[in-house]
Amino acid sequence: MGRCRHDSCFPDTTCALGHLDRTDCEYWLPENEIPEPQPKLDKNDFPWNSYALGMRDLAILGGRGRPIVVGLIGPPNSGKTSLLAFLYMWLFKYGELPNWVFCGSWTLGGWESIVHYCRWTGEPPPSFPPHTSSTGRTPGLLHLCLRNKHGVARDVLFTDAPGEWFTQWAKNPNDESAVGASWVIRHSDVFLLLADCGALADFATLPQARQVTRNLTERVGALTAHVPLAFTWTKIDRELKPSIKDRLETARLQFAPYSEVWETTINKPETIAGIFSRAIELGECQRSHSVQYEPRVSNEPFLAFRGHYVDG
Amino acid sequence: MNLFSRFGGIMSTADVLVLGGPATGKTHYAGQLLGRLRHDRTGALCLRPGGADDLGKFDEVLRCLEEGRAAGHTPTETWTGMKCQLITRRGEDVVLEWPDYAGERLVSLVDRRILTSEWRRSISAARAWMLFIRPSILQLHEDLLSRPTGLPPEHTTMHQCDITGIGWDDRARYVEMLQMLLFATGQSTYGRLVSPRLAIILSCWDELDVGSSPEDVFRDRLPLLNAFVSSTWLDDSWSVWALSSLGRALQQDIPDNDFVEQGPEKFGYVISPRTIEKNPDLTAPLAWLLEV
Repeated sequence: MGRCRHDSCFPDTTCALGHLDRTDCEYWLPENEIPEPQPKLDKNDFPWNSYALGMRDLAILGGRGRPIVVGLIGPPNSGKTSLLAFLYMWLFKYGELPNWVFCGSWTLGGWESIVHYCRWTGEPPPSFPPHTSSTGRTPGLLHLCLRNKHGVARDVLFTDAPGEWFTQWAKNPNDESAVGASWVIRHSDVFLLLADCGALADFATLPQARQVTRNLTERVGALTAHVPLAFTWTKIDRELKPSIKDRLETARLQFAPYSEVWETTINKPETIAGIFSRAIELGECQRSHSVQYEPRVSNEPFLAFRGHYVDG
Repeated sequence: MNLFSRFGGIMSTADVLVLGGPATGKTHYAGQLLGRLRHDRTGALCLRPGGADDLGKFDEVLRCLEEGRAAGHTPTETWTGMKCQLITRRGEDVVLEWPDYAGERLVSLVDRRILTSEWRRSISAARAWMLFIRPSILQLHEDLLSRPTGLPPEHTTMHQCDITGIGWDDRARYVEMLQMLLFATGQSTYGRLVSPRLAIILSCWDELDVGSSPEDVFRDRLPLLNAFVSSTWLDDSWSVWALSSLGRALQQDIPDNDFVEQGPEKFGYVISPRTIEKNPDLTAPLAWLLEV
């Protein structure tokens, strides 16, 4: 006995294409050609696998409203993933950020994978997370659900993208290798543009670091005037010559005058918790809206219709 | 919870779901609880005469405790339940069905991400969860924040990879497990929960040398889990208890003479939320969960 591959043919019906003998049909498979049913691999009874979310995973958050997307932008090694690692380590230690209490995460495995290298688990001693791989075309999204003091929960996504994407995007936003960076720029509700004091303080890396940071400031500033932007100096324990800082500050004022200026260092981890709390606050302002309801003044049918739109 | 209307009916699922990893003391508590329910009628709950359906399931545990020895590990395949008809101080009838299982099942839930039909039945039917956490065996990792190296920071040269559940810190593991179980109940966690009521049991309390309340220890040792639970459940719907089912450590092969002489029902205690005093009534967390 064989089987038909046509979508409209069933074992107890005649051939949908009109063949009196079903074995004449091109869709008919003899028994010896029927493929073995494939075992279902990677079965998961839950809609999340705990690792960084991709585009298709965002549907699980859709029912709870649009999440706040915090975009971390910066050249390679400017500290994007390390900031995220310290954010998670902070939550591990304190359970909360200023004004926000941890209320869950669909990407605990992703967070654990980042901080794994920052832990004392034997040899080697703890270090910063590895360089974020630039394979793929969309950033990894790390999720937190946080509840504020009013009891309101908010889903927040943090982008974890390789710095090479942004370097390339700053040169040419339309470049094929900058697709992931473009996604971050398009979808973020708040940006953290990282300026790496470590690279800027070293004469060997200064020229390139300054150029990339200026390019990024110009590009981001031009495209995201409607989105909150925080110009974030990372590794501020590295002393920076005033002239270097002044030049980048000039660029910031020129291209993104509306931006806030933040500073972080791992020696004061509260600065990291503080900037993420502030970023979420800014992102929430970006998302917040109020629904204006038309006041009901009468139940009379004649008065009930007040046009398709009435300016309240 | 008054389950009078269901009294006498056929119950195939649990009202209280017991959760806990391996070696967190679930089996000893079950044995001691059954002993208390049968022999001590001064607690908040007590057993109706003849109200236990099948003592044979706990025969080995009860025998070990009577002999002053620690019971062995629950086999992984085991899914037996203790089903009891209880009576409260106010004379209300309560049916308690408490499934017991090896803790590996819970660990594998997070790692394998497959919810068996047994889990589904228990989760959907349970009005309350009792989560056993043994603080002395938690896998907690120090990190750069809690213990800096004092050296200039360097990026690891290792490649990025996904860390499997076994390598997770237990603080994250417990949060993930509760998230998965809550998902299985079909409830949204966007608003704070009233049900299922949650009792967090810090087990083997005698192993800890602390004079703090259970909440303080929970908050200090598991801040992430504490934050998750306190922001997910309403304040009156969850509580933290300390438990020492045996009051002391027993050996599997060397009997404890005091246990043999006085009987296991004279040992063990709980510490109620916001207190530091020992309470010999081991039924107290269950009574709180069942609101009797």
